[in-house]
Amino acid sequence: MDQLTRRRFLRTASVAAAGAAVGPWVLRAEGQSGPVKIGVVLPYTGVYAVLGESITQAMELVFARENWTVAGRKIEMIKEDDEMKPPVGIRKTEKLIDSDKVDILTGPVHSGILMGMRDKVHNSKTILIVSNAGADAISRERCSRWIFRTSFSNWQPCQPMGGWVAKNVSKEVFQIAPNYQAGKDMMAAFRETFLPAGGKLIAEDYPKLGETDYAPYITKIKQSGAKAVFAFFSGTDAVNFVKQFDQFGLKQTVRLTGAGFLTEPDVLPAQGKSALGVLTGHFYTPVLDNPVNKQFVKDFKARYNNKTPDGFACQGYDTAEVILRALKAVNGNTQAKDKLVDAIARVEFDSPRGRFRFDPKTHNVIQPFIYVREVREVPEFGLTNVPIDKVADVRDPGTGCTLPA
Amino acid sequence: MIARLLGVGALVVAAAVFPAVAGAYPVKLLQEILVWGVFAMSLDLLLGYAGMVSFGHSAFFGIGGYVAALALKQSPHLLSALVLPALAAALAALVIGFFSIRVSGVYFIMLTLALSQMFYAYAFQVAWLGAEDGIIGVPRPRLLGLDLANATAFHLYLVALIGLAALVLWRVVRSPFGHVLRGIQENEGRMEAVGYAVQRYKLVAFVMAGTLGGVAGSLYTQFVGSITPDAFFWTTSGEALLMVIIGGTGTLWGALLGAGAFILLQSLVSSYTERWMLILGLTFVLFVLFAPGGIVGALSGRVGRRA
Repeated sequence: MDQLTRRRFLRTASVAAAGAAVGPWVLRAEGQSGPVKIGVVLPYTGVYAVLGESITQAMELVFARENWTVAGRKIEMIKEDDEMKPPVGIRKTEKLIDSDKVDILTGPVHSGILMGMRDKVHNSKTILIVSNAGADAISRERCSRWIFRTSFSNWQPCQPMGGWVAKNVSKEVFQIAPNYQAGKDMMAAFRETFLPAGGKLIAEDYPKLGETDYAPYITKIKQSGAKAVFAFFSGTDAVNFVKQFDQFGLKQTVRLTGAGFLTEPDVLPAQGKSALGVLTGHFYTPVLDNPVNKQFVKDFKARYNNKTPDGFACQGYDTAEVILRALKAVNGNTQAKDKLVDAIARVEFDSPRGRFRFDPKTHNVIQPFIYVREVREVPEFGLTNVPIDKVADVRDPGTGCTLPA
Repeated sequence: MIARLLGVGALVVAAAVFPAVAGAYPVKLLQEILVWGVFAMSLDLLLGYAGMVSFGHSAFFGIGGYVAALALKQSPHLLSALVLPALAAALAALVIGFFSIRVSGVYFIMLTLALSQMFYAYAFQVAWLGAEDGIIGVPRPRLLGLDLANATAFHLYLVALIGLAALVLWRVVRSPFGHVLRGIQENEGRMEAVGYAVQRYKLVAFVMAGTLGGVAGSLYTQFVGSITPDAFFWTTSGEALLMVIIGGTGTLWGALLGAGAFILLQSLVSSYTERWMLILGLTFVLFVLFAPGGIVGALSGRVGRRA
């Protein structure tokens, strides 16, 4: 110990005291004038990278329109690749919340990641805007006042289809979906309106996820005498099922209907003409005839090398719009989280899919319309989903969710 | 020997006080590295000592994780957090091992892979395990009146357990039993000729590794508060193999270093570029080509004595 100790101690102590006194002011000032940090957890590698890319591109399109500023603050997007793996997605969530201290979090695509990050988000009071994952539970028993969803609950695109199919296609339906919970949930959602409308479930079957040969199932459908099929598949499963359904000649006698993912633009080119005439329910299609959507499609194509936006892009667009409008409403103040949450809950605007608003009971989007779409060949778009009918105001029942109204 | 123990002790203390000097995210990363480190070390017992390349180690990680999740939801105590998951994983390892150790080489890889993927398929589909969403909202246990929901308490609990696991493994590989395993790796036929019951030794090693793998899975569940079927997926085994090989097989602490290198690469590099897989792949290729002894081999210039 030398003589300098006391002097050095005093110097250090005074600096520390000054820092402690000023710190909160500096931090608060920074909180309002620094950039608004938006954390994004999406898949950017692997087969689902196309989904993450569509969502991100649409968000960037909206933010670029505002020159990356809102209420006088810069917008900063911090993107993290979750690889569609829950351990990685959860770790990235921790990083964005604890290390980057993001103001708003968005993502993910994978329902397992959403369920895994739910408690961290809820307990740390971080605002999460879900931009894809459809797990029903997040609008039901696992809902949180800090979590909003701009995409859909798995229930939403399927439930209205039941009554519609019974009325307009056939009352004798065969159900088929991959053998996992989301598949079974969607089939159950369909039956909710199908059975009361006088529909009769001929049979149901659940091939394994990632099945490549649907011949045995298609034979079963043929022998069952059903007049229509309601199917949910996505990705390569959707490609294989729709193609084989056509190749086995079933399309002439049995009408194929399904959840929107069956013929979304990520699989439609690979399905080709086999998909013609397939009827699906979804909240979006790029050919929707409204001015906001027309502008969106035009801008999106111009910015991204003539790529047509899909439902995922619409989710990204709405996520970014919600963030912008809520931040404007609170004048860029992200410190008062309660006010920001209230502002998000009140956001309402014209989205490419229709009038966008959240359900105050669940913080899940109320789908302005579930469009019944038929795959047709259209001059400007090629093979695409053409809306032929719609069901308005589809809101998740939110069973078990106890958010204050 | 004493110096080594002191060195390890210093490392444990450093890990224990890490939260005092680092932010929340680095601490989380350290905890995750430690959890995966235990898993990689348990695999190293098979891979680096007994010479058994198992591609089904994820089965035990998943079983430990799921049993812990189910049990902790019933009653958040030590029994649920550690004892039951370890027992379940041991039982599974006994059954899987009983069938798998009869074959070796590629057939052993395929058999362990197939058996572990059966667990994946099951967990992915059945409703009582939460299907593809897994089990969420798992509470942390209470231990000696200490609530592990507290971040500091949980960190110390993790460090202590992982230190203990490392100590146990270290004792095992240095025991006569460990030497027999090494002998089996070098020349199985000769060990049999000398009179060792090779199959029994292999089975015991398999059960030990499985049990510890189950403990790692259970710690992971407690760490994130949830578990999903991906825990069973073969990529979990594959990543653990990568960790062991990058770190250096047959060294135990190499597995820990490998876990650190893998998770840091995955977490930090991927924040900067979407091409982080390329960097990971190149790192792996470079290690295999130029440092077959892994990080540990490179550090000791490949002439140092084996642990």
